[in-house]
This record gives sequence, structure tokens and C-alpha cells, in this order.
Amino acid sequence: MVKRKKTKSRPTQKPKKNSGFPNPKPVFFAKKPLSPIHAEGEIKLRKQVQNLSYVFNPSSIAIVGASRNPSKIGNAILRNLIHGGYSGQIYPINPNADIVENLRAYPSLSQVGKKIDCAIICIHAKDVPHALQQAAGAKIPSAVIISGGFAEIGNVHGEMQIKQIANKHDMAVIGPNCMGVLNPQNKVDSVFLPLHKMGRPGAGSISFISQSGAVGGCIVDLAGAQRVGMAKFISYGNGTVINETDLLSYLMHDEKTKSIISYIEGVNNGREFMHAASSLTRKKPLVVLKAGKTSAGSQAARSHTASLSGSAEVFSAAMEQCGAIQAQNLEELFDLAKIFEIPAFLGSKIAVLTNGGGNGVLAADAIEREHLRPSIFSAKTIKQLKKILPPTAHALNPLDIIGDADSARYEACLQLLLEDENVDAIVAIALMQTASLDSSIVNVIARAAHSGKKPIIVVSTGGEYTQLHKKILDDYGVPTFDSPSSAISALAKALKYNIYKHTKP
Amino acid sequence: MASKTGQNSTMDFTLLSKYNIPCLPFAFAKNAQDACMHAKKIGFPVALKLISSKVLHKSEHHALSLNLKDEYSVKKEYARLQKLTPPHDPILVQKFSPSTIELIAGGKMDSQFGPTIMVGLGGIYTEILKDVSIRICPAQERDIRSMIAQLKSFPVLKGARGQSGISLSQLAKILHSLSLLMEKEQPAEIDINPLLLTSDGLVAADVRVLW
Repeated sequence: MVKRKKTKSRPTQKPKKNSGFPNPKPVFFAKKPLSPIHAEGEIKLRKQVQNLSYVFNPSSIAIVGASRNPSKIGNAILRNLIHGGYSGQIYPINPNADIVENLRAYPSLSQVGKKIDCAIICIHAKDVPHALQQAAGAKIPSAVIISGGFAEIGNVHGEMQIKQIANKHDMAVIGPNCMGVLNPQNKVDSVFLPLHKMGRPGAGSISFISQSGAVGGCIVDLAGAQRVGMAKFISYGNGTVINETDLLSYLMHDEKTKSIISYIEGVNNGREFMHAASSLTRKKPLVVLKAGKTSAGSQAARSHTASLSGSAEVFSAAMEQCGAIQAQNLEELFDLAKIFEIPAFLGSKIAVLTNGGGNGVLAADAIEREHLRPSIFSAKTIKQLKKILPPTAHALNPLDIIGDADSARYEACLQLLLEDENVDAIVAIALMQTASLDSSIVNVIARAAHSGKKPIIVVSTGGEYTQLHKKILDDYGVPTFDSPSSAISALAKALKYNIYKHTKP
Repeated sequence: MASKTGQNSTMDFTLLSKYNIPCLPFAFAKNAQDACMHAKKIGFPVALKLISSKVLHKSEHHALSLNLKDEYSVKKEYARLQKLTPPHDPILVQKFSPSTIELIAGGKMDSQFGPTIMVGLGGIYTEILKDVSIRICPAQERDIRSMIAQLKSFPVLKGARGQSGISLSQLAKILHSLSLLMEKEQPAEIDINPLLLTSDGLVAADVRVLW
């Protein structure tokens, strides 16, 4: 027994003081202290994170690496700022030019001699720490480092230098290896994709944080094209100084941001992320698309539990626990971005209004699949509906007001559904293709949605003519979807969040 | 590796008791005589289980005998189990309670999120159906409620088709204790498998703790 005790191998753990048997009182290892995952209240921002406001609302921006060559990133950013409508001061930094894009250029940050709020850095990785040091010397409180070539390719030293300089001076630094930020409100734009190639969204209430610049660019472009407004977009790259957790904390306090969507490949510290996220979701919805879901249990797992709780499953559980809504793919991420524009609702009784039968049936299927309930209209509603509807239409949910419906019939029915207490939310399916439905349907639906009585989402499937009308609705802040299933899935997730928010922990 | 030996298996059960997680009555037998003595004390029927580092999944290795109703069958099965193992590996004598629902519960230290707990549908199809749900510790009341409700087999657990279900509040209590255990003791992995529904409620029939 004694001999056996001595030969026990514990490669990773601290040694035990003694062994248990037959001593009934087991002795266990020294424990690591655990940081909290449930936030007690709002998270107070540290100075460095507060300084992010200089990134989003700078009165002056310097661009380190503002090239004259239009194919260079620094030049693209400079032109985007000038032509995008940014109204603050712009200082190009370029040691080889006096004038860039008709602006006076300076050889270095320290030679500008004026107050600079944010430095956008897009030069070779090896020169970045020096530039950042100069920014610190010039008392610039924030920087966006676009340049790649750091930890992602093994240059840990360069990344450490950035971290040290930023932390020493409480600088809010986004990046490196990122596309930076976009604030449609004041046209702050460090995204190096040219304006004619990537559309910019208008000002809105959705903020989007993305580890990947590429994914970020696609969603932002899509938002621009579909007229979905954004509050802030942040591509944070390596997250060396300001990481995803800091951004969540900042956006929680940001008044312009009403909901947050995120694309994440990994988190810096799982427990801290949960802490920030659970604090955030008390106030605002958070949608997470996690990429890089590795296979379930690792091969090395010894117990059932470990083999059943792989990193993807644990991450998903963590998001569930802090009230974050999970998107499975980019399309869903975008759908979920829009869904939170509708007023919050807590009931699961869904009414479907449609001028096409099949689409209504698809919606009914989706309602069942998503564990929502179809509304059963009140006797009063049914009585009124019968007066409005032609004899060939039934006063049932899904309410198919048939293919010859015009905007007036649509509106009359929509009004009745808004008044029915057995209806918690309305899915308005509008087949724009019918002869009788004209463009006024857009106003009908927008008016009903803006009455604020009940959440209304729109489903319209179709080509150019349909897309045009959908864009207008989205512009009005009425979320539109391409299919009944994507609409109702988003609706179910919104309800899930609303219920989470109203449930005691 | 230590926990796979008999002495630590005792400790594993002791650990559960420390956190008020109910276990089936058990004892370790040194020989067949001993096994019969324990069986009488615990009360028939009993189960015999081989505790060996060679055997991870007991049912696959036929390393357990269930529903032994008398001394004769205990002796016979003891002899059979002994042949499967080096002489010093102990054999566990345990109360055998027929169960209608088998669950699995457990926890692991996750590199990203720290201690986690898990619950799911147990039995031989656990790894195939993967009907489990996970939470990060400490799990609050809401977390545990949603964790149970998230299981696909939740309607079965509540009781379906005339079968009585489990006490959800008892399961919640066990998971709460498990969360506390993971948080305070931080073992690398813990498996309560199976967690059985017997006439006395939910009880841990087997447990393994890895440090």
C-alpha cells in the first residue's frame, strides 16, 4: 500500500498531502480561484476601455501609412474618410510626401503638433511598435492597428510590444490584424475596402463585433445593401489590447447600441466573456456566431462526461447560460441582427397573415417546429374577419386572405390581428407578385408596425420587385425575411431572449 | 490513475456523500465470503461490480453482475468476476434497485471556462444519442432549470405514457450539489454513471473521479 502510494504519478497536479483510505475524510488539491461568470450589475469600464470613445468619436484622426498609391490600404482608408463624409480633422502621416490626397502630410505623429484623438496605423508590422510609441508620446488616447504580421504568424514579440505600450499609456488599441471600426453616425471609417466596392450601412441601432475582417466586411456590405442600419462595427482582429470582452462591456454602455451581433472564433478568457455577456444581456440582446467548432470530445477524454462535453458543446452551453442567442451561420446572424428591431414580446401565440396559401402553410410548419403556438383568433376577430373576407377565404390562422387581396383588405385584417388578445406577434407574408397588391402595402405594414401595438415581421420571397419593397420596409425599421422558416426561427430566438431577460436567475 | 483503484473508488463515493449526493448502499469485498456478508447486510438483491483500472466501461467487459438474489449467486458471480482481473482489484457489493430511468451526470474542468457540469440520458446509448446538456459552474437556479428542460428526453424525465417520471426538484438539487463540488474540489473529470431512478428517488449507482 505504501509502496503503491509512492509510485502514483500525478504529472500535472500538485501533490496530495496524504491519501484517503481508510480515512473517511478525503483530502483534495489546492484549488484555483475562479472568477465570477454571473454579473451582479453593470460592469465598470476601466480607463483604457473608456478611451474607446476616441476610436468611435474622434474629432481628429491621423493615418500612419497614408500612401499616395491608390492600391495601398493607407490610401484607401484616407480616401474613404475624405469621401465618406467624416467631418473631423484628418492628418496623413507619410515621411515621403508633403501632400497626400490634397491634404498636408506629416513625416511622423510627433511632428503634427495638434491634438489627435485616434491614430489609424497601416504600415509594416516591424514599424508598428515604434509608431505606437510615438502616438503614446503625442498623448493620442486611441489607435487602430490595421497591419497584420503579429501573433497570427508567430510574431508574439511584436504583439507583446503593442500590449505593453498600450497598457502603459491606457491607450485603447483595436487590432492588430483587423479592419478596424465603422461608425455610420459620424462616418468614422477605418475599413480599407473602397466605398464603391463595399457599401456602408446607414446609422442604426445594431452594433457588430467581428474577429474576422472578411466576415465583418461581408455582413456590413449586406447591411448597407439591405438598408439595415448600424450603430458601430468593430473588426478587432487579434484583440491584443481591446478584446471581445472589453467591446461587449463598452457597447453595454453605448447609448446608440440597442443590440449586438458578433462573429467569434475564440475567446480570450471564457469566464470573463461570460461575465461581460451576462451583464450585457440584462440590458441588450447579444447574438453570437461561433466559428471553429472543433469535434466533440477529445480523443484523450477518459470519462463519458469529458467525451460528451467537447469545446463546442461547452461554448454553446456558456452562451445559453449568459443569455446570448446563438446563430448557426452568416445568414442567420444577419436575420437575428434585424429581429431585435421589433418591440419585445413574451407570448408565443403567433398569427400569420398571408395573401398566398402555400407560404402560410410553410409558416404554420415553422411555428410548430420552433415550439411556438399558432394563435386561435377570438370570436370577435372571427366575426369581423368574416365581414371583410370574400366567401372563399377562411377566418383561420394562418389567415389566408387569398390572391386577389389588395392593400385595403390586408390592412383591415392586420388591424383586427393587432387588436386580438390571442395574438402575441404577427408574421405578415406579402406576396408582392400578385396583381392586386400594389406598393401601398409597404405603408400599410409599416404603419401597423409603427403603431407599436404588436411586433410585426415581414416575409416576402421574390425577385427584384419584391426586394425593392423589402428594402423600403427595412429602411422603415420593419424587419423583412426571405422565407417563412428563417423569419419564424428568428422570432423564436427573440422570444427566447425576452423570456431569459424576464426570468430570475 | 489512482482513482481507478478500489480505495479511491471509496473516496469517490465519499466525495459524493460530502456534497449530499445520494448513493446506493455499497461495500468492498475482499473475497467471496466477505461479499456474501456485505450482501446480507445491505440486503438482497445486490449487484457486484469489478473495480479495475483495466475496465473502463463495465458493461462492455461484462464486469458487473446485477440482481443477485441469494448467497449462491453472489459466490458464483464473484468467482466469475475475479477471473477477469488481477487478484487485488476489489469487487464492489452494492444494493440492486430496479430502475425505470437511467441518467448520467458529471463534470469536467474545461480549459476555457473552468469547472462545468453535465446531465443527460444514461444507459448504453448515451454516447450514441448524446442527449446531454452542460452548464458552467457555479450554475444558478435558472441555469439548472433550463439545463434539464433542454434535454430531448425531458418529456420522458417528467413522466410519459403512464411511467412515473423523476423528481425534477431532486435532480436540480443533485446538479446544484454537483456544481458546488466541481467549483470547490475542481477534479479534472467526474462521472456519475448511472444516476438511477429507484423507488427511493435518484441515486448514484457508480461514480468515477479523475484528478
